[in-house]
Amino acid sequence: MEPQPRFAILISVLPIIFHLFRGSRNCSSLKMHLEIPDENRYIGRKPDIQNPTKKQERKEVLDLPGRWDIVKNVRQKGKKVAAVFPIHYPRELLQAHGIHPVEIFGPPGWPTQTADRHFQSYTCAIVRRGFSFLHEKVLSHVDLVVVPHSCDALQGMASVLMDFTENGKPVLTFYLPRSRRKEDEAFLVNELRRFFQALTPISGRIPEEAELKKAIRLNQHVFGILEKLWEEHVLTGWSNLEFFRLLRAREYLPAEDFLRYADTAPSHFRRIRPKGRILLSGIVPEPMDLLHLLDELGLLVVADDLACSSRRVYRNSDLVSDAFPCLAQCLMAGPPDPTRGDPIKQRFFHLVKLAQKHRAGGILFFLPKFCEPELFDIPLLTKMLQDEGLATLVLESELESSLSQQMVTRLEAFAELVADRTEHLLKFKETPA
Amino acid sequence: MQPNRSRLRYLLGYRCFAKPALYVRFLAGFRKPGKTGQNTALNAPVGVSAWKKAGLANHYLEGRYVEGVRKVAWVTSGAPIEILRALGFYVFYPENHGALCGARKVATEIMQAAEQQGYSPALCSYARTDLGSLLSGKTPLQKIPRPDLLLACTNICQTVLSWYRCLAEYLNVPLYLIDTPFLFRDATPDQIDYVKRQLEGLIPVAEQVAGRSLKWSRLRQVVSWSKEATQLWLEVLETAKAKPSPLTAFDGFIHMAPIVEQRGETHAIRYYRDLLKRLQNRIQRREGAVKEERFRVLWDNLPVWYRLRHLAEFLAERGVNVVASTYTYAWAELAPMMDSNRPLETIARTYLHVFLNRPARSKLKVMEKMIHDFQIDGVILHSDRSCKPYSLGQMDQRDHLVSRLNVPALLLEADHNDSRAFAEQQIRTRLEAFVEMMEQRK
Repeated sequence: MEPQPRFAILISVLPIIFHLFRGSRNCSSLKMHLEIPDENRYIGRKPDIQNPTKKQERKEVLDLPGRWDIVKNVRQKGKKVAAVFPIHYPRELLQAHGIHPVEIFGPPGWPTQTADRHFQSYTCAIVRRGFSFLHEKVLSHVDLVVVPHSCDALQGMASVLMDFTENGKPVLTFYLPRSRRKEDEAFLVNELRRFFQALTPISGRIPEEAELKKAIRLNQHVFGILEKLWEEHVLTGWSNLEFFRLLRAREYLPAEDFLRYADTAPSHFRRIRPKGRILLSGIVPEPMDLLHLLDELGLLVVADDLACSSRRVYRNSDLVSDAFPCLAQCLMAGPPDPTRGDPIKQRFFHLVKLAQKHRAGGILFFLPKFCEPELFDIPLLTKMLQDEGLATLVLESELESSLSQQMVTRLEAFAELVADRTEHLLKFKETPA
Repeated sequence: MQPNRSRLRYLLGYRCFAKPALYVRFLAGFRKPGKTGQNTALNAPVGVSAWKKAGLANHYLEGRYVEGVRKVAWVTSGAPIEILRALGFYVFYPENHGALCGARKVATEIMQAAEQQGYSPALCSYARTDLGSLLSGKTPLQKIPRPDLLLACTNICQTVLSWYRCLAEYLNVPLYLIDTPFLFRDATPDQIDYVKRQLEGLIPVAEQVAGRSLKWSRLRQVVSWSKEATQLWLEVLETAKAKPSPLTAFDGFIHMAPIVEQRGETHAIRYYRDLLKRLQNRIQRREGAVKEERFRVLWDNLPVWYRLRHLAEFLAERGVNVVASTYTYAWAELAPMMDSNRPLETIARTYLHVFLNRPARSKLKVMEKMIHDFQIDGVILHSDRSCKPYSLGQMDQRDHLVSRLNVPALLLEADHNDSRAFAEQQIRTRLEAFVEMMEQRK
């Protein structure tokens, strides 16, 4: 029997009213989020917006040390620390030299006054916030700064750091070739050697080949663990927020500590009941409110294409060759990345493969404003993905301390769209061929 | 059938009709006379002979007919084109096309077509103009030849790589990349070798597209022409050291077209020889580009294409002659590095060392040298929203110029092609204040 038209309208309007109500609640609660920047927030110790008492519980379950607690600890042990800017760099070389890398991706909401004296307003927030943070908080605690040449903005920042600021700390740059040909790999081997030699005056030693190989093997082991964690996350449906806190702890934890946490923390993770499955693409999911909101909306991130995460998983099965060629092969083997000049079609195939593997219904592109390598791909890439039946949403952020109302609303609409598609995909999967 | 038809069209349409008609039109002086020099503070700009001008216009004209007759390559402005020239490619510069759209004041309309397709207004306005033109078919050139090969070189920015990746996708043509590591210090042998190996890799790719083999004697010839044109361009720019200067940087922006587009061709050499002769005559006559030159200013970064004449006149009315520019100088300073006896190595070295592939301190040194050589009274740093590698570091450069060298310096925020980023009134006020500042120091 056909439903009555009025009844049908009422039924269709009810979820919208419900989500509008939820949206306003989310927004007001998100806006309550810390106004004063605090570097501890950056590591993910974010108060639970909905329930402050729950926050305490969660903090205890995922008792990750703060980024700067680690820096102090490492320095107390007599080791050197490097502040590292995004994206690709040879972590293994630093580790072999006994230098501990701590990465700087922002932090969100950090005031940009210091950077505003050096960079125009059209410079990306990762550079402006990172530069300010480095000068106001980090420099006195680190022994060197590493700036990989990931884009024009970071190149400009490295130039200003080296030429115009008297920070008293060495600044090392690293250039990852923009293609993956033989000549690029040969250059990369030399670039790695140059970087390795430049670390010697800082660490005061020349590590043995065996130390370097050990570092390579350790990182390959970490990549393996990361893959397993992802598999488990997809099966279990862990909270996106907690899972990404763990993943991102790799940005500052020593590898051994990270492996320990990776082993113990997941058993305490909250689980969400996913209504939809998505891929998350971009540079960095900051503010982490984004992941909290995805949890609330029931969107499970089943795979990522983030510069701070999966784009830096460099798997290489051949660990028998010499250390530098081996490391170059590892870096060359990373997944497609717009900052590395990979063709758009390659990115498209990679994303579709991930979406098909994990039955994702949509892709969320969360990009920093003014990020040219990412923004150039978006029109073509989203069109290709939409033609493939995947829902896409592009959000641009300036690494603010919280999400805007507009973003929350758009994410809610996206969640509904993805939930429908995921349901369809899951049903399709269950139907026998 | 199609190639034959193209060839016929090329021979009859272009060679027999359009090209002679173009030369006749220029030689007979059918073009509208410019306003400059009549009722403004600027003297009539030094031009080249009608024949030379027609030679430049002919480059674009040929582009309308060249498809299917010569292989076409779209290249970035800093790309090493000598190999392509030696193989007979017709070389087209999307950036120059963007500048042309800007100068003709149609760029904003064209780039909106790209924005409608989802390209962010935060992206480079040359790229948006080019992609907008590709997507909408709009161009002041009537027709742009479709490429057979794309060549991107990262020595000017990383943006070109992202941009050309999009072009490769839309046009479905091969993209060859010359990746040039940024030189925070002097280039190392590894870096030069890396670029050289990529040039070696380009040869078989370009040969395959061109359907012919590279003759090394021809490449050496092209390199020597490139060097000669670059050397002449440097001499042209250095005429502005004279007081009063016979040339403004705004003239330079127009006259730089051959060094960008026709580098490695004899036309560029003839063009600059002619221009140089006329400039030297003007120096002898002590005739300046600005009728009353009171202040000599250096321009940093790309020009504001859609306000070129407006800015030239506005400044000239206040006795300001923008005598030099780091942008035009960037195409000239590396002339001595070229050596036709060692073509690949010197191409690698030269294109690795371009102005934009060097750090902010190095750019500042170039500015300091120009301030000294051209007897500069002030510096205008165009903070170009679209060009981050050029603009990042300008705030520190400005501080350094003001505090250490005691030279008035103005940071002027705009965009080289997007007129929406040009705040007319604000810029007028700031320029007036800048002139006052220079007046006080006189």
